[in-house]
Amino acid sequence: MKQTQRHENKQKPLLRTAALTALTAAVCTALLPLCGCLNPVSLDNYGYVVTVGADVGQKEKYEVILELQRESSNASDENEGGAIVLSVEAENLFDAINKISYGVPYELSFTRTHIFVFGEELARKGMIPDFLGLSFDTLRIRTSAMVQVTHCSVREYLGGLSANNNANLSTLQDDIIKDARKTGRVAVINAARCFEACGGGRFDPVLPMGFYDPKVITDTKQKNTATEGENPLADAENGARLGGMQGLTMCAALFDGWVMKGWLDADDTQFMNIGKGDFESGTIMYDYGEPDGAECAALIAKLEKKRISVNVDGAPSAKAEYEISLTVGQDKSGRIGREWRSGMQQKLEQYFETELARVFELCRDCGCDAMGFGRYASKRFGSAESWENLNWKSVYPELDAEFIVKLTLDDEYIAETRQ
Amino acid sequence: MKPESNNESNNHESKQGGEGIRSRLERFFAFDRHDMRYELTEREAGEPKNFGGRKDIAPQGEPDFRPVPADINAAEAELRTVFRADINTDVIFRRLNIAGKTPALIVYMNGMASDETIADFIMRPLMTAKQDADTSSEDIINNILQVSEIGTESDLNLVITAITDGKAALFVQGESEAIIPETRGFEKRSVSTTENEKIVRGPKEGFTENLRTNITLVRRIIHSDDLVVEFRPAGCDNNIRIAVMYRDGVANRTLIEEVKRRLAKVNTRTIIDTGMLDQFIEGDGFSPIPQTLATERPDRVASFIMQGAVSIIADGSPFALIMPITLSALMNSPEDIYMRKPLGTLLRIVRYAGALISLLLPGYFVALALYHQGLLSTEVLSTVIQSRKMVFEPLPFEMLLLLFVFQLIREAGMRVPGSIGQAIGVIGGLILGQAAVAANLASSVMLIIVALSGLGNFCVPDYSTQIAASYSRIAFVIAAWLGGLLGLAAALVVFTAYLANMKSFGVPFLAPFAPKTLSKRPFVIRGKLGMHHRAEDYMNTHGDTLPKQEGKS
Amino acid sequence: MNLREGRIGVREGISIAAIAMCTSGLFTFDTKNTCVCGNAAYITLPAGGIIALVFFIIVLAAMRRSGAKNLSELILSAFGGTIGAAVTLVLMFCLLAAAYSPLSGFIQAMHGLFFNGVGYGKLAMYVLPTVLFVAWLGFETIGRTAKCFALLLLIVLVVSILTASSEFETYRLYPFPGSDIGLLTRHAFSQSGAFLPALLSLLITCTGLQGVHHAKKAGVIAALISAFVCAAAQLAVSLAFTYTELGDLFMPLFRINNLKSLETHLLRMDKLAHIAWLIGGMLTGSFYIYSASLLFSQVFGVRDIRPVLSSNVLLVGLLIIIDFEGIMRFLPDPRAANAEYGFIFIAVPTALAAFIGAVSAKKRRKHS
Repeated sequence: MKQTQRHENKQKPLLRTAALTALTAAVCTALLPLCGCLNPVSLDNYGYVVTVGADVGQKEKYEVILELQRESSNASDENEGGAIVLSVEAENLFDAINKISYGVPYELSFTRTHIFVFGEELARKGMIPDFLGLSFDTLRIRTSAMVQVTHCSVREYLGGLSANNNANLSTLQDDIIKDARKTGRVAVINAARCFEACGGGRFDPVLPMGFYDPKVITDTKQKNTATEGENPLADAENGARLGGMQGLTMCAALFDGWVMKGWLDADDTQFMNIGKGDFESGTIMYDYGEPDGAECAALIAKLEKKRISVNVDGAPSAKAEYEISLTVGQDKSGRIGREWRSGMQQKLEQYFETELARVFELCRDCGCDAMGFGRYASKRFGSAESWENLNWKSVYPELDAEFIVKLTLDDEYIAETRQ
Repeated sequence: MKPESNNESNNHESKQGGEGIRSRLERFFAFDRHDMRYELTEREAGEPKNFGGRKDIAPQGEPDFRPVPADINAAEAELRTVFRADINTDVIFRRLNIAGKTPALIVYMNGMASDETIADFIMRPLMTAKQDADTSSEDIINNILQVSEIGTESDLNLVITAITDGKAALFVQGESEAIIPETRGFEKRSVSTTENEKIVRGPKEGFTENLRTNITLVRRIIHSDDLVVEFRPAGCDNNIRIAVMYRDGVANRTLIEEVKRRLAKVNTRTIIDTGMLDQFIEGDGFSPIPQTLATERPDRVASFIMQGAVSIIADGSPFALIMPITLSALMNSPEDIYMRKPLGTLLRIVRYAGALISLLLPGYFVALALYHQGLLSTEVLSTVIQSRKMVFEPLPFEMLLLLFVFQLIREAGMRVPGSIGQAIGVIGGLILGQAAVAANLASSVMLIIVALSGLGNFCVPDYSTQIAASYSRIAFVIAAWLGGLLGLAAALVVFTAYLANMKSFGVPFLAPFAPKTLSKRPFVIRGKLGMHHRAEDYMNTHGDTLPKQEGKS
Repeated sequence: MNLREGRIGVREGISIAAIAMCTSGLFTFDTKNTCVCGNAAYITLPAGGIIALVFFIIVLAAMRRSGAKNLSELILSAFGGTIGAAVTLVLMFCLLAAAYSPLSGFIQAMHGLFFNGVGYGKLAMYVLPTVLFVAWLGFETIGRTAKCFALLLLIVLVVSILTASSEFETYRLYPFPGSDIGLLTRHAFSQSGAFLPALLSLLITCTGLQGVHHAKKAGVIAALISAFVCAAAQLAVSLAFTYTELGDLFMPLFRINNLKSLETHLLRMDKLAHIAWLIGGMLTGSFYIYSASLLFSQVFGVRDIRPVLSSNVLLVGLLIIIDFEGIMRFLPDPRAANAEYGFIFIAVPTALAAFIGAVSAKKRRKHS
């Protein structure tokens, strides 16, 4: 009796619970095909494009070069790694992707694309935006991807970067940029800033340049003699350098909007970076310029402060003041320290100012606001309309810039050298 | 009265049918019915509406009163029938004469009652009593029997229960009540260390299967006069007793009433362990997360009782139940309190981190590997691709398979006794794992992820919560498989909302974090031991006054 | 009655209101229309928050004066049955629009930035059932779940901003449209529409918040926190992008972490942060849909909120599908329209209800 009652009492709620559970399960089961999977692709079914390069094609509009990260087969083997370089000629990037996809057993993924590299010819023709604009929206490439121009062909440059079978290309490229930044001898910019420059009109993009040095021997097996390449000075004929990469990144390509107009060598790039305010630290060689050939002094400069103002009322003018601290890296004659307070400081300051002015004029002649004076000009306007009415690109060629440099040297060094 | 036309009657019937369907649907979906869950945590404005819990359930029915026959022959006959003495030789019926004159009958269960106690302290004094001694029940109790605990019972049902408990029943000719001396002397396990809740620092004693021993273990810690132990039947046909322990004057009265109300609802065939009892009294039977804490440790029970919780101990079970509990109760170990504050805090942080890793890491990895490869660094990506080179299963299947194998190894290791069980763990972990990688059944990276997740799972102190977490992570893996980080985020929100909605005997499960109560006890970081002031605000204990009455709290 | 109100404390109220306001303020922000004349969002958005807060306090004062325990009582006492029902419907649709905006924004972000070639419907099938589930469990659950995630979302936002801080430049704040006060004021009022739905929801759920004074406390603190957070986040965005870029940028808070180079950070903050804020978006959607359903149920005497909840979620889902499938492409962009004019449809009826309710309460007291 007790059991029957117990059974009946439990029957109704149990039935209800079971029915509700069944209903919930049915709804969930019905939902599953509706939501479905969101097109998953396992990570080992992708080929990861680390670098996208474009050059002017021979037969088609572009030659597109893709550099894919190759995973190492054995973690302990240091020589495994590097990249797979694929290239094809196509009308645009998507055409190239289609063509390349036919010949590779995986799907291409651009989520790890780290650098865009363009050939100089393509850059000078102003064809970069045709390539860049679509890529980011459709291929979901990060706008932090670096943008670069090569003096050589893109294929040679990328081949030179990947020749050493480095396991992690992205880190390698990052390290190149970071190290180069510390010397100040290369301009660094990413796609987001390129779009800002060309869209906002406050400055012009300045891209790093890539070079290819075929004389670098990357593999000791390639040496023809036992001593080849071991002494760079002695083996100038067979190879100036042993080891390192054949692809080099330095200097700065000057752009007027999306069109490349010229480039600065490494030394000028340093001063361009100082003028722009992007200079962290770097070694500047100061040639005493004396006819008896006295050696240069190596000065490690660090940009401490900058103050820039631009006046666009009337004739456009800019005043740029910089405070740079110096450390003497090498000065055999010791003149820097010894004569610092008796005219050397002013001499060096004048040197810096002259160089800055010269580099500024070079950039201005190219129509490139490399030092970004437009950024400071925009601060004078209280509305977007008035700023846009100014049309900075038309005003910039008339800009007259005054550079004032204040150098400081460590007092201890001065005291030491004067002893 | 005009007879209804066919049409009208059809309409009436269809209307009734329509309404019938509607009302049935309303009943099915519990439309317009507030769930009326019992609430213990007070409102900011005072007591909650349904503070007293539901009153509509009748208490457990008591069996009808059966008087003890005054004639011992009748009593013996009845008891022989009840205990099936013709086939059940466990029950001993011993006739004797008290003081050589008054017939009496002792009934006891062989093995449950102590023969020595019966012989030395009951039978001998009775048989050797002076001939002029009075043989009424009262005189026998006061002057003859030499047992420390003794009672009388006039309900034969309760006499039967006492006999099955291990006590003896003494029937005196002409007396309408039986004398029930305490004679329990069955074999029981001695107090030893806990099997499943080992700690480095702190008491090592654990409960046994004996109810009296367990109560004693708690009383040795709480030397307080307000500790109440209420005995009651468990509500099962095997008639085990349970003890409800709480501090009278500290534990909220409505909580005690609610616990008793739920216990009164229990009416089942068998209860062997408190785990079975728990399933009858918990609020949501389908929840994977437990709503009571089962513990083997008397120190833990004592700690919760001191805070105002209620504990249930059942005869035959070495696990005590504690209610109400929160997530922090399930995640905290008693060791946290026995260590110094910084160390206790570190342990807790590691434990919570382990629990989160256990839950989310497998799903997170599946989401990244299938949908968001850009979030992985190149080294990790490279390593995973290399390790999966020849593995034939799709990645999510591989993850689910490894999680399943992990569960297999865990279960096998628990079931196999002694040192072999440890060997199973080693074999499963090392050899099976290596062999699986060599056979391209699994990748090494995936093994590491599953192992990390498993280690994190073992950080959860409560066994039930561990199991719940280990199966919940499978749900997260499936969510990540279907929807990547979107699916994982949706699953996380659903899981968190579910926990936030849960209540354990009227206390929100995520208290005192959500809702934020006046409890000073931090959720993760172990606060100062002195922070017991209003620590149990969410349990609404007595003496927990509102802020304006206290001044600065 | 099964309205699933439950009861939550002030902190839970602050959490859910702040999450809702920050989500609406940061992720439904119409950059196209706002930044066309320069970017002052880091001033106009918190100013909008203050405007919304002042409005909220005035309405609360009116509620106190009229003795209404929640907004539905205020509406009924001010307008009566028929007009009150019409006003309720307007407010309900405003709240549904406020729920639609962030949800559709996040779904669009998932489509464009996360999942290659996946339809909006499939993505919505992950978001909407979650929103329904949380709302179904009731106001208590919404508040407590929000409390669980509030700190995490704040930390994620702060870390995102700090991670991107090396890309900040002050020149991007210029040209600052400070001279056009009228424009700034107009934007401030428009952007108060990001804060008003959350505050309105607090007024509706006063009973769940255990009283009008608790709702006021929660609203004031949440509005101040949200105004500060929105100001900081908008300032960060303004320092990272010029106004010309912002005009074309979708989800700038996502893009802000897209500026850092890949391998320099172990965590790719952009997607993780966005997923965290998607959780905030789902909670916001739940909150708004729940409060819309509650308002409807209270005014129309619906005894069980669950069918209303389900219908409202379906409505929002339908709106999302219609928008993304381009079925009504001849109509203006609903998100932009909501961002621009939504505040009018919330503020005007509520203000009228407050005014009439307070005045008629005064008259009643006079007569009695």
